[in-house]
Amino acid sequence: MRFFIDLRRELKEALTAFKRNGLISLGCIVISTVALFSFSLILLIAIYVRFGTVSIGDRLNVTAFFEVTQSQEDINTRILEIKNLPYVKQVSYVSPQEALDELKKKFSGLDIDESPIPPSLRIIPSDSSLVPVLVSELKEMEGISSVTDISEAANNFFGIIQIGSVLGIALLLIFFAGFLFIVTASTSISIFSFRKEIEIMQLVGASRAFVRNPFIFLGSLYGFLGALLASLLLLPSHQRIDNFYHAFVAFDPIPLDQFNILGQIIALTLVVGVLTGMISAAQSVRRYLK
Amino acid sequence: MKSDFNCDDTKKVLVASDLVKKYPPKHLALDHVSFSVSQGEFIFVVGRSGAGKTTLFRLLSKQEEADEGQILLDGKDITKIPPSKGFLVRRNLGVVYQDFKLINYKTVYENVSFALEVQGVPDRKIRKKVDEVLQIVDLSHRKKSLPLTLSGGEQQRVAIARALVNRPVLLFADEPTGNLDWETSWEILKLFMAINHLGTTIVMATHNEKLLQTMRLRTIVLDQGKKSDEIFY
Repeated sequence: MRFFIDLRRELKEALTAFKRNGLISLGCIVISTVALFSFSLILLIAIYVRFGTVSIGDRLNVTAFFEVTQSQEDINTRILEIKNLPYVKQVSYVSPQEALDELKKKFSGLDIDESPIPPSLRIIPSDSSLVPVLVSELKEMEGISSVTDISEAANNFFGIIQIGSVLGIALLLIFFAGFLFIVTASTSISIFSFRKEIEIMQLVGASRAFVRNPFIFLGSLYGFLGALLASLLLLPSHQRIDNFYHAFVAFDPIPLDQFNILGQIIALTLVVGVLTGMISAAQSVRRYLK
Repeated sequence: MKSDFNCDDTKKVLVASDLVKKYPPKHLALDHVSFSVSQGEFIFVVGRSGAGKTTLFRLLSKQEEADEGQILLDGKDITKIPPSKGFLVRRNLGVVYQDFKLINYKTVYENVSFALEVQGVPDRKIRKKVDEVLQIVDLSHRKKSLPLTLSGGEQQRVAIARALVNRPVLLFADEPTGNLDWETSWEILKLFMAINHLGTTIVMATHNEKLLQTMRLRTIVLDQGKKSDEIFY
């Protein structure tokens, strides 16, 4: 019962402080909104970029061409051998005729009856970063005349992804640190305006928790409202990013919708907002507690 | 009023022994100050600005820690209580300041009841106690007013009511008439005397010579952090 009486008082005090500090409260919410929106937007972009690179990476397949002297039996043996390689996800055989048909589709004016393309295999690695290993392995196999060597392109691609990932994480961390600093500073300004009340509360024998708890609720209210507004701003931004993603990655091997990324980011933003508000308020009020 | 006796045989409410307080870099705010206050007594602490009166009050009300010495409050050594638990000491004390220290957005009633709320006293008891104490300071008719709509004397009476509401063993008043004219000061002092008559022990800091001469109570004189004299009338 005492707990609920205290909780009611703390919430009431927090709301009174919120209203009394009108402009500063508004400033804190705006700052939290901007900071949380920037943070969640970067996170959203980072996730889409990550999915995009995985999607592009999945299209990095390798084509191995057989020597024309190879019999169908030899080819079948080789297919089995390749399928058993640990980093191969899928192998599909392309006959000379199928290759010619594809070529004719691409170049409609082509007038050839006999396929000049030898039989080949299209191999999708289980992990696209293993393309260079797969290529070198295939090149050493008997009966393989040539392999489309995309090792360099793959290496470059994954190098860019790696740099991008490191930069993305660094940017997120910088934004998060900046967000913490800004929210703590703005909450501090809000609590500073209550320093006289805090002093009086302590003079009449208020415990630290009695003084601190309403401010923690105040901080979490700033964080919650900031996160709520940031989430509202994120909705149209998400729509634009999603449209761009689907236009860029025409075929999506990992359907993004199933992960409810937006829902997860909004939940995270709310949690981060509330927690940061609480922590920064506790930190700010601490300096006034004897 | 029991202010004119040197009551060695009565219970000591406050015993301060060899109090030392230094502030960096080398300022000695209190230099081995000792004195005691008996139950029901009303004493003055006087001294020029910077003599150490406010520092003494801050140590006695556990707002600051003494570097050396001992403070027995109602028989309990409060210097042994950790600073984080200082609020428990302040709940048994009443403190009145020159600048009233009222919360301006709370009404008279709320300012007074606040001292009980922090102790978790139920609302029903709070109402009864606040009404009683507002009657003592003659502010029942202003209980819904905000402090800024009151005169200086009325604001000080609210502060006194707040200090009294939890029936403190001891009431400290740090220059409570410092911001008031002589007439209002005298009214406030009469209120303190009435409160003292009801049994509350009072220690009051002042530089108001006229008050001292009129009241003629035991007076501790501080000078540059030292107890330079103790006057018994």
